[in-house]
Amino acid sequence: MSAWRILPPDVKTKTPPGWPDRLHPLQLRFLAEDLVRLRRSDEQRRYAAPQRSAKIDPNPHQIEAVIFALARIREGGCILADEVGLGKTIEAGLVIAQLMAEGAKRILLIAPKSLLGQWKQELFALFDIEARLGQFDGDGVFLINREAAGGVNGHAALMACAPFDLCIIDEAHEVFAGIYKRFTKNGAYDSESEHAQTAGRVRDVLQRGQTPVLLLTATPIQNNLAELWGLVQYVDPLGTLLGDLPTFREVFCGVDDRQLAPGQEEELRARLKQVLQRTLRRQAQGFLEKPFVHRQARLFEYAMSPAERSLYDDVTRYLLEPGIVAFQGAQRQLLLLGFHRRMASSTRALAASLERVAARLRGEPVTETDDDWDGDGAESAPGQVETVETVETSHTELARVEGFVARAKAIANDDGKFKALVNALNFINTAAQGGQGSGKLVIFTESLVTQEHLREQLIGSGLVADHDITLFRGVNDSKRALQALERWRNEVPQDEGATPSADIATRLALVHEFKTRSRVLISTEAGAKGLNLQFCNTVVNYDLPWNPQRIEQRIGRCHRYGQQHDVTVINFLAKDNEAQRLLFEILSQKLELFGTVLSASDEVLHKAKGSGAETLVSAIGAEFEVELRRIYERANTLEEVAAELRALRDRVAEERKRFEDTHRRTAGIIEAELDSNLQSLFKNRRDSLPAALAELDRDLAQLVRGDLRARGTAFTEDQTNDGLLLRTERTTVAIGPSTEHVSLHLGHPLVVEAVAHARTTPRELGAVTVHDAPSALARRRSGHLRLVRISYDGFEREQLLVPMVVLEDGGTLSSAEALDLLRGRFETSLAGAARATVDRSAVDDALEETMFHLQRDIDAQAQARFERAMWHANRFIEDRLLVLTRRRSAAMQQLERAQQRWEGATGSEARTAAEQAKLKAEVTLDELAGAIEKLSRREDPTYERHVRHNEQRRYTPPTIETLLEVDLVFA
Amino acid sequence: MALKLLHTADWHLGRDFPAFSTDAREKLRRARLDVLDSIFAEAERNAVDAVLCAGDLFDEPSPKREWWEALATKLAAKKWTRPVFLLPGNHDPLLADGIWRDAKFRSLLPKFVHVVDADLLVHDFDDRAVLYAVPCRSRAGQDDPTTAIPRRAAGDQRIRIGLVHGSTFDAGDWQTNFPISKNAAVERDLDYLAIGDTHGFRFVPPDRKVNPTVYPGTPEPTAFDEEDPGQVALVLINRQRRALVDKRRVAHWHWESARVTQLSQLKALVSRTDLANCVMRLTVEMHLSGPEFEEAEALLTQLGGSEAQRAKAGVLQLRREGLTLDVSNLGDELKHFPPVLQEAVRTLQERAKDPALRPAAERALFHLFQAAKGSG
Repeated sequence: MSAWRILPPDVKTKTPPGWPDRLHPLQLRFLAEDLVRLRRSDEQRRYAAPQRSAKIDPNPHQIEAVIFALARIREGGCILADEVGLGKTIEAGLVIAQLMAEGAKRILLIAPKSLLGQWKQELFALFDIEARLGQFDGDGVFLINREAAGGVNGHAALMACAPFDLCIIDEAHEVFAGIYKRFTKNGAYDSESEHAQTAGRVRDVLQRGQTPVLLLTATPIQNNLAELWGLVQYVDPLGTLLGDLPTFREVFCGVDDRQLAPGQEEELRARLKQVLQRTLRRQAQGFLEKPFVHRQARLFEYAMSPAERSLYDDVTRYLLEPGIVAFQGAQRQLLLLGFHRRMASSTRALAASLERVAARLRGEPVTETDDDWDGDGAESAPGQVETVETVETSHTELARVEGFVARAKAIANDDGKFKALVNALNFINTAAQGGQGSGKLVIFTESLVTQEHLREQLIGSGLVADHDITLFRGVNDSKRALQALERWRNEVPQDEGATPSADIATRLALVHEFKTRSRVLISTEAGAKGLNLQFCNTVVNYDLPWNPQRIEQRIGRCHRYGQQHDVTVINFLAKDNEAQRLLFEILSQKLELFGTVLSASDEVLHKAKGSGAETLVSAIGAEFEVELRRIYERANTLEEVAAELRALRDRVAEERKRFEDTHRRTAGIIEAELDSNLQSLFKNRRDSLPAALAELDRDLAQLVRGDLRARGTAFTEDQTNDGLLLRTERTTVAIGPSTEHVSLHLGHPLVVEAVAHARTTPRELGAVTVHDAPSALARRRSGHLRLVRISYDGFEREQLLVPMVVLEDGGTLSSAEALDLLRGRFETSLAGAARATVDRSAVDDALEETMFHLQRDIDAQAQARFERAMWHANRFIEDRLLVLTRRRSAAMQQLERAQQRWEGATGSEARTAAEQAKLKAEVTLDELAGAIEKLSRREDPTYERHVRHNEQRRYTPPTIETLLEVDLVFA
Repeated sequence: MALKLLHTADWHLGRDFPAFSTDAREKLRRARLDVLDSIFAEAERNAVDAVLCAGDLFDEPSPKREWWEALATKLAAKKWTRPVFLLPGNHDPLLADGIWRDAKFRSLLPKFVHVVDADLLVHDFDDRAVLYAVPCRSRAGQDDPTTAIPRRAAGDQRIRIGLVHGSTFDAGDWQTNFPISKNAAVERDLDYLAIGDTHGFRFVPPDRKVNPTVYPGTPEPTAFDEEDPGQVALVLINRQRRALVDKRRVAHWHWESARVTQLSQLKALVSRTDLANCVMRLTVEMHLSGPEFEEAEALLTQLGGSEAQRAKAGVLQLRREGLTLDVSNLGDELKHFPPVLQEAVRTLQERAKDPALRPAAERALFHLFQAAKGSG
């Protein structure tokens, strides 16, 4: 007899016959329970289901990641480490959606502050999940920035609220990998450590709730293996996969944490494979609905007019003077740096800044030090500044600054850089006319003044009309922004239920505006993160931030999943400004931020970014900015700045070389799968998904229709351009895919309600008449149906639904026959009608036999996983044995040397010394022998705990619940 | 209600493996105890009505204290009421001075454990089923133990189970030890005959669907040539007295013999990912040039481990007599040697022609080859 579910995952099944129009409560119950039962992560239905709760194009590598993550949830979680641009947000969203549909209530999402907006927006736009910020009560998805989560107050709040069912940590390598610093030399966790406190506090929160974790990072290994060890600690609560830190270092690290010990690559790769899932772009490329595109840079050089040039030089000299009054006190450094960069933005921005300096020198109140800066990055540092006190000196300085202001204003419209922008616009237009892109462009500037300046100049130049320009800044409360919001609300169908916050709505509205109406988006740094502009393929860096990661983020707005064209990055460079040129050289050549850099006239060539480039940027990006600050702070002349920059360029080049050497050696350990294996796996996933989704859609619709009919709720169904729509008085929902409407999915209110109703069906259903009984029943008149749910509580939770049908003569139906029967027409028999005559104990027996068969398949799976888990536990011991054996060899050599010294010793003193050395070595050897023997016998509390854990996962008996008992009468 | 059983045999607790290194011996000896945890856990998970242990549970009639004490401790830790039947086999027969009569051992066993210490043990499972168990009383014997089992009485509808230890004569290497009739289960009308002795899982005869007679085999392999070891039998006998039998893997180790004659085969072997739980007997027969020989050495070190790296194979028994160096093909590096060493090489090559001197000459040449590489 074959079991009911047990088909290997991904075997295509013959589509079962449909269900009758009107479903009996027992059929609704069966459908409902079958939809919501827990499935193993690699069962099609499980990984297909979340696809329907999201508005995304399913990609095989993301499915693979979801399967991996779901399989690891009970064991602590995993690291999702796809290369940049493969949609880790979507993977995490799919996992969240599925776990919520299966009953997870509270999900914590920790991200860098700068990405919170993007998360909120994407969870809402793609998954219809309204994540909450700033509080942790009740059920839902809670967003918190990592500094807050790891701060004293955040920690207290997170420790005080109910534990979480899942925690997602984005960009996990940045802060959380540092957890290793909290471990002492002998491997113990030091809760008092001053290092990595954010990581430590978050660890407390996760440990308290035994919360499984998904770590998201494209760069799980930068160049420090101890950081990798740190990341693994979050997802391996037993702490055995890589062992304790000293053992890990001794076994896997070479001379330092940057080196992998020779011969350990394969072993480490095998270990990491247990908890880390990574797909590379080249592996996913062939399966992406929208393949990756390249990026290339165009450099537009411009000459400053003599007046611009001399103003620039004069102001720079002024800024480099040590004794100037305008910049004093704690904020001096930041102010100065801002100024240098403002000069590189636009003369107008420079003029505005100079005016504020003049005001301060005049003693006028200027509270915000830097109100031109718009963004949320570390560079901007608004705050109180001490008023200027040295009146006399400031008087001379004031005259000088006022002179600068006048000169700047006079030449503000004779702007060499803007002319270069005009050239760039013409270039983009020509490219768009040639079919290369949309002709849309996003211009980034750090300065609000420059933003406004560009708007005016673009309109003034006649190249761009007012309505073709959308502005985006930190606070978007202009009339235009409000109009855009209004239009967005009217034009984009709003889902029922969750509504986005005003902030998110405005962001979405402005992007909508840019997508559907305007041609140019001028954005401050506020838009460098979190906007999805894949419909636009030109990024203009009107000025450049000093942090390479921020430049990468800007480009990433357009160069992201979904982009159809190659992305062009446009930069500007003043011809005779050496400092600018050097900076650009570092960013473009040493850090390869822009892809291939071409001048405006070059032929377009494609060149893929060197592997590891983004890892490099992420590894040295922050340091780079600090270096730049230091240079501008210390230098007294322009020549010194240039000299320092040259030195920095060389250092970056060296750093890059060193980084690449290390990276080449270590990157392999996280790239576990052979491309060819992955390709066939991906192909299988891609090919099997449509059928699985179709079946899911059919069952969901069947249940909802049946439920609505049973409750007398009117509904209609129409085939529209946007798919099959089911409408009730309250709601409209798509059955299957839809671009505009929410699709029916497991977490949809209609489905949730239908399941709840179906579950009110009483267990003892009495007698039911079956019409058109299948031929398998032959001439038999009656039988008994028992619907049973078997729950396995193993490495993964899994439930099976077993419909046992026993006939009057003791015969049983196979699972296929029972299913056939279940799809028949049922009618509750009238009281007093002929009852079935099957003895319940016969059903007990039949069930026991079925269980016996089912157990075999479940056990085969569980045994494979158990053996892997035991391998993992044994490796934990073997690593330590390896360390001890090495020590034993060293001790034996010591003993030998002591023995030689003893033999050659002349004089009692030398003899005694040698004797003591011998004794010491012997004691060490004894201790080591004892420790080795103990470990060989596997006497170790951590190991024993791990083994008990594995045995519990493997051998916990299933629980059996009877859901329905029905006497069947065959008509 | 149906009856569920777990049937196991041939634990051979205390078996030594002198052909292996000290470390490996310890691992293999210990595995025999560890597997009991898996067996008992499997019994618990499947909520069986009884555990039948069909003989040769110890490797000898009077095993060392550490083995019987460990077994008793494991059993005593179970909070069970389900009976566990321990049957003396031919390795651990029921002798007056043997382990089964040892008062200390017996006193450690919990109540639910039944040692088969009478000529015929009869155990009733309510009125559903009855178990008949017959022990071995000596290391060798000519009697069929199943003959001691009474025939079914008229009107008795109970499930009948037999538990014995011996040979059914259908295995390749014919033994005359406690011969059991292949048809014993039919003759005695046993709905299931649980036997122990051979180390692989087997139905006797393989194609019979009724009155199954089953060897579960040893739960943890003891040698390289065993067929399908490492399992226990799970049995469900329904009210109609039809038995369903399934095997479940419980072993930690799998034993495997391999022979490689080409470097590529050795490479393929080393790259396998399932070696951690493997007891590997590897015979190497290759005649290799200097550089190849060096590569083979490195691969063998990976397989067997060193102080610098964990072994890839769980346990390795290496037979490398067939691995020889092609002394005429040592690689180009030797050409850069000073004349005096080149002379030494030539002398050694000459000596290698003498079979008696060959091993030493080969070793010396290989060292020279390595030295040449190092200095080059």
